[in-house]
Amino acid sequence: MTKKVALLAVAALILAGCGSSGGTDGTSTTSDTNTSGGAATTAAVTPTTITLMTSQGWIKDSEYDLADRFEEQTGIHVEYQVVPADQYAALLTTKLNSGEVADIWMAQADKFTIVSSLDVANNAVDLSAEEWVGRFDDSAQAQVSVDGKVYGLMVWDVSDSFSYIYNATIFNELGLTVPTTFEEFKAVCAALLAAGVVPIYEPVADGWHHPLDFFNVAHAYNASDPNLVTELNNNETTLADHPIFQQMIEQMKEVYDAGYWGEYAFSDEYSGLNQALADGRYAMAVMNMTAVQEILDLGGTYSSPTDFGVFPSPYVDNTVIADTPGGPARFIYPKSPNVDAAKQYLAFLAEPDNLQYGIDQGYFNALPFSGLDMNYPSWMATAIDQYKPGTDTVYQNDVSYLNAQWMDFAADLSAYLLGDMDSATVIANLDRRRTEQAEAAGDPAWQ
Amino acid sequence: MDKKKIYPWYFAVGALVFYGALFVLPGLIGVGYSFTNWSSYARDLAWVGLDNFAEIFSPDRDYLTYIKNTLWFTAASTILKTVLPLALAVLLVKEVKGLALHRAILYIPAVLSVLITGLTFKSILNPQYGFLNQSLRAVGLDALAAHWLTDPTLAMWSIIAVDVWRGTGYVMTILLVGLLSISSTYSEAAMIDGANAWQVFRHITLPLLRPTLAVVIVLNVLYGLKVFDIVYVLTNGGPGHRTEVLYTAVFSEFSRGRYGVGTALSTVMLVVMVVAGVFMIRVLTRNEVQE
Repeated sequence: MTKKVALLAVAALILAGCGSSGGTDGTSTTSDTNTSGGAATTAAVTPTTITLMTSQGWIKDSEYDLADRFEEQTGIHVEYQVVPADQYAALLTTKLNSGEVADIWMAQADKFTIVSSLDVANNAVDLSAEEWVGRFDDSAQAQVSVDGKVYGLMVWDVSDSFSYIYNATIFNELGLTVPTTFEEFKAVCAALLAAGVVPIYEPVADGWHHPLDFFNVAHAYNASDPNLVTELNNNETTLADHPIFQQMIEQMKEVYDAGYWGEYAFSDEYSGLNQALADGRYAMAVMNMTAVQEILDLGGTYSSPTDFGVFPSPYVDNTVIADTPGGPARFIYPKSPNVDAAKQYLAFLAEPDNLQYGIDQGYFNALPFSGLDMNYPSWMATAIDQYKPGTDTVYQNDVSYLNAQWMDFAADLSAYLLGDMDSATVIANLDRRRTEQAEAAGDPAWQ
Repeated sequence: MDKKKIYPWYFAVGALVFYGALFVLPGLIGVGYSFTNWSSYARDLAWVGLDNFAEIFSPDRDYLTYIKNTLWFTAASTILKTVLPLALAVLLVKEVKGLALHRAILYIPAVLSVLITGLTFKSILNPQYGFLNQSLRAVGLDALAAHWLTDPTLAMWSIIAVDVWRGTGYVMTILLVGLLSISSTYSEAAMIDGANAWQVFRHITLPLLRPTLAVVIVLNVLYGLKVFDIVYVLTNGGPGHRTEVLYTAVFSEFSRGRYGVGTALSTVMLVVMVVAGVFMIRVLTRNEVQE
């Protein structure tokens, strides 16, 4: 009997302890007060801190300056939760599913991913009524909109695109001209290699970079069949039905096998790209046009704006730099107790003066809003004029269910380059993963 | 046996409740999810029976290769992480100069975080600037300089080597405790009867060390079967899919939002580990005397 009483007493103590922990917590934050309902309503209490979850590299220093100004004006502090890039997508998905995401969360937005894997209709606040939406560029706006409702704010230079940056000085010294076909590209690579310069810096180790060419040559794909994008999105055809996709990766393997990516491509990292081009060890690389400035800033052997030029990826005879309307965008979590404060912060970021501040500080050349003064460097202005007519969009932003399988495709592509997989399987796997995602999402085109 | 000396069953209730709630229940829920279409794309959860398992064992998919890689890693790392620490433990059980220092140096890798170990070795094994290849080139052994983590034929061996480096000291410490618990009177008596060192080790030390070896082997096998961190940091399953193991595949499925397939893969591994664990403990302890 005594033992039973003792056990009951211990159990009661444990239960009492559990029960009292919430009630005695003196550290409850303003957010807790807001969620409790009753007399303390959201409107009555202004939060002192809002949180913003982002991937490394998506927040420029200019925004940190603006966040400080925002705090001076409103008393609201913006706390940035910066996550390493390679872990971000998985972490964000997990947090969204568990309902523990920050007040504002960021994601690499495109019109398909925001529906299929981010489910912004349920995980983000409708921002259509915000004043800044009227100034937001249509093509960028489309990447963060579902059924006519705008869910995200994109403060990102979508006029930039990944393309081939080449060392114009080395090209001139060797009498080389910009290639316009794949055969010319191979000839240029051969000449560079013969001269002791590694033709292309391709950082395969990072996993995300080497698939870029495949998605960038959208113009060549579209030229092979003008209805291709529509048919793919309507599930009326597959990538495997069109030999050009297989041909594309076979050309990549041809370049890799010829040694044009150098001996160390599989261990080369993106962080080494700028230096490799700045000291002239490598002559070309796929990178953002804006990033040329980072090479110049290194002050290496090649540090003059005239040392570098831009041309489109020449695989499958592509001649156009496709648009990349998608980019990192900010979304407000609807279950956040600080929705109004978060909206206030996004509206602050989207004020014309604050957008212009990012451009004037050199962090962006342009932003997808009307009424701003753009600031393109010479090489970028020339490239946009010559190669970027705005007729094509990179495939991950134009064809559904491609962006979400980027890293899987990258691993398959690596396996193919090493001879562990054949080209038909790589393309078939792209189709299979599209089908898996579409069916799981209940896409009507796949029913 | 004096039954009065056995503690009553309800002394274990608290521990069992916590263990059940924090380990068994989530595990069972996970197994349950493996029979559903749980994914980040579908809002409604639906029962799909054995579909996820059929996908895993389909010859069209690579999962069987990942299972093979996992088993290969487990076998190789278990053998190496048992034999090498045993040899070191036998050496360091004797009175040698700087004994504590030797033991400490060998144990240090075990206390380092896997992330730090992985990043350090990633740098050491870099084919262009890495310490290993630079050293080989410096002494004229250029031919031996290799792409340790990016050559498809070498990558898995490199991971195993790093794992052995990291785990040897830990296993050695367990074996040292086992060796120190063996009374020296057995070996002294055998020596007097004319046994040499090998015979003493083979017929006295090894049999008496068997319970400790059983623990070490079970730990090594279970660690090998659920290896993830060291592979993730060093190669992330690459180059291509060459070093992909089951838990990097699980991570990849979860990253893609295919939680149902991810949990099905975990369930397969759970079954393999339970079967392997029970089998090994039975085999390795079958001749033990129960008190």
